Amino acid sequence: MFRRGIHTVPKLPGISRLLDSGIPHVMSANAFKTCWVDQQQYLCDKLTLASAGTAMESYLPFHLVLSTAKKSYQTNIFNLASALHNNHLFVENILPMEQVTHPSREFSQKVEAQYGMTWDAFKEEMVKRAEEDVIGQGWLFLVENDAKELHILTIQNNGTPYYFARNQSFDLNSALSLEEMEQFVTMKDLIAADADVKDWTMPLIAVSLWDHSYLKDYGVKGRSAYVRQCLDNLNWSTVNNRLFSRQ
Amino acid sequence: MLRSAVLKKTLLRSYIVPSFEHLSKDRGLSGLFSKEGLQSAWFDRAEHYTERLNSYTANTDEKPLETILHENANISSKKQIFNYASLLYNLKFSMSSLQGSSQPISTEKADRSELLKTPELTLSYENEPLSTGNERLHQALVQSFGSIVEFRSLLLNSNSAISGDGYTWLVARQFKTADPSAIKFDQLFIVNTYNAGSPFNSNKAGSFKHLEESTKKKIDGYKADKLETTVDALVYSGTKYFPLLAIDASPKAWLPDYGVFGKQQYLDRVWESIEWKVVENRLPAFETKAFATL
Amino acid sequence: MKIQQEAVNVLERTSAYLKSGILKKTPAWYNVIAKVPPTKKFARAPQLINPKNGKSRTVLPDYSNWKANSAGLYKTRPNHLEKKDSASKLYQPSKLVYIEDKLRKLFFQQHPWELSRPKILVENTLETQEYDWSHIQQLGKPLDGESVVQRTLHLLKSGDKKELIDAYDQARFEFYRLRIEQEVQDQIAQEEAEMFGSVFNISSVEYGIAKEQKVIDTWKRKAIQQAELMAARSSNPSASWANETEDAQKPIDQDVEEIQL
Repeated sequence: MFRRGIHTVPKLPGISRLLDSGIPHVMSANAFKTCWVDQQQYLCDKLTLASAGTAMESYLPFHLVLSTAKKSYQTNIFNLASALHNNHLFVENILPMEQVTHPSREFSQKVEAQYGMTWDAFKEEMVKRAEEDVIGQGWLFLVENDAKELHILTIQNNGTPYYFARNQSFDLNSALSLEEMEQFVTMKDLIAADADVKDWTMPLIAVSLWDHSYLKDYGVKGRSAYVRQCLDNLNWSTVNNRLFSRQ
Repeated sequence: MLRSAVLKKTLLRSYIVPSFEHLSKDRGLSGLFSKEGLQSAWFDRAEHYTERLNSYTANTDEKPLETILHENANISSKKQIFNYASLLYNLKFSMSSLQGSSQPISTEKADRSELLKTPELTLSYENEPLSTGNERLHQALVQSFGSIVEFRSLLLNSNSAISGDGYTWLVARQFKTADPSAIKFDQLFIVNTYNAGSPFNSNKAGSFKHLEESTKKKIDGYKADKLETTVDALVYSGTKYFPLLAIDASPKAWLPDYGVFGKQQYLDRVWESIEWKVVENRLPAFETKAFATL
Repeated sequence: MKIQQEAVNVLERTSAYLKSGILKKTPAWYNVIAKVPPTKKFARAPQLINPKNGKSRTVLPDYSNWKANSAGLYKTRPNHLEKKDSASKLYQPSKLVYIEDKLRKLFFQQHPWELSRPKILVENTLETQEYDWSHIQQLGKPLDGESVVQRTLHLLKSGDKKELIDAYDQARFEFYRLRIEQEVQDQIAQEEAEMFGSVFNISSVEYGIAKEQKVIDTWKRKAIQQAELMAARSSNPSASWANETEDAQKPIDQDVEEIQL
């Protein structure tokens, strides 16, 4: 029976096969159940509980992320919506394909032009950044900003790639460097000057660094190995589609 | 040649993986962790953090973790050393007071319905400080929080609200008095730390603001609000917090045994597993007069 | 007064118009009205059964077994007042009394701030029927006073609690525990986000303080000017008379400035 304002787990193509055999080379069936079926259900139910009966109940998680990002008192809803959206992005870009997919020429050229290295070398860079920047839970993103440049973005906990003030890229629990503080102060000044400042960053690749997605298969020490597996087995037809193109 | 290199390496001081008598790899912690759960919650993490700490502190003297925390808290270049030392300290601290309970671990993991569960209205729980004979701790808790039920719900709610990694601490506040030899404590508090945050952060007071100001000065002719800075320095610098109890919020602790929906169950089990005697032994002598003035 | 029958015949008339071709297009409301036609029964029927207690209103009490009153007299038949009342009440719509309303009134009297929570006002009365109130939290319904009311009724119906007040107290305390949890959760979520470098827009309180500070600053500037003026006058009375015409223009400017804030 249909009920108003309830968030439900999106249906993935080929879900029964995924439940049986997991994602080859990345996740076992058991880990897939924790990472997607259970975790997504948990987030959906929590978000429904938190937003039902309010003006936000009919919004999609993505809209909730954008509309709650600037309001400190709605952080709980923001966290849940952002986690839902990020997790969907993540599972979408590691879904197994029938045939092997490759990075598009546009994508490879872009990486080489901007960073002067091949995609394989760039992957190592991404693994390293995840290892260094995120010691707890979080996300590893490759994003394309409004100038159509690629950037690695590491996010703590449930931050979002869509709005720079809620990227949650800093960990204030330990000491900040002067450069980090400069970025932080610049960010604050930007928002103080214009409360409606926009950020047009779009995510291309998302990798979950939450325990739910790797602990079962890779163990406490195996997160970097898991990130590498994810990046090696991306669903390129999804990622290539996310890249901006003029056509 | 090879032998001497090996010898030299073993002579280097390094941190060894901490261990506790009450935790063994062969069995879990009764009433809280299964064998696999304990492996993930304690052994693997202790090993991992120690390895990482050693890799960052290679060739330096082994100092107590507290000293590392204190010395490196404000140095960004030593951030990783601080992070792993702090993680290791926090994990050790949280495990030190968990003794397990006689309750069996349920084999079925919680499902969706757990989120809609109605809270029980009981006013007395298993394993309260008074029932285990820790009257001094009971007194201090009641004086600070009103009652054990209030303390329990604040402690467990604070932990369950942490969405990522972190710890919930029960801390005692120490006040600097005119007489430096007299240590006075006046109240207990509940504090959350996130990721590698540490409860020993008295020397961090004002450092964030200081860094922010020095950055702003670089950018333009920024003038700091002197009054605010002075007030901060006066109010916070003399205050220290001493940890008594820590509860781990990381999914690494509860995910293997309790599943995605099971954090609340895990927390209920943690409460039953706390060895209050250990907590009470950490409780310093209280200045009861301080309560009267508050 | 003549009963107006014209309005309720709208469906028949429109059908006739459509059939004869006077109306070309079917009105948008046509199918809806056809499905739920307006009532044409205008005569009030007597309600012979009292819906409040299910007893018949037409039967007068039987006085055959009555005992004597204090004066030693017997009552053998109903008086004219009793007869009149029972006859007139037959056509009166009876009062709708729900126990929920009493609980709602009590709850919101005790927790007036619960009324300040925003609420969406659509289709909420029928909806409560499909929830399972063996637990107080519901997917798709916010935790609020209505949850307490429905949960109280459930506890009474299921026999968990015998007394209304016990059931209400249990539901209320469950509600408190969940509210405490929610509040801690909101606070911690915000603290956690800030510790990971989130920057929010200014809150409405901060906005208010900034506005207030502007007014206070203007007031302070004016007060200092006034004080200086008074000091100048008292030290040199003759000069103040000369200056007054020049100063007359200034305060008006400042007043305007203050209003603009």
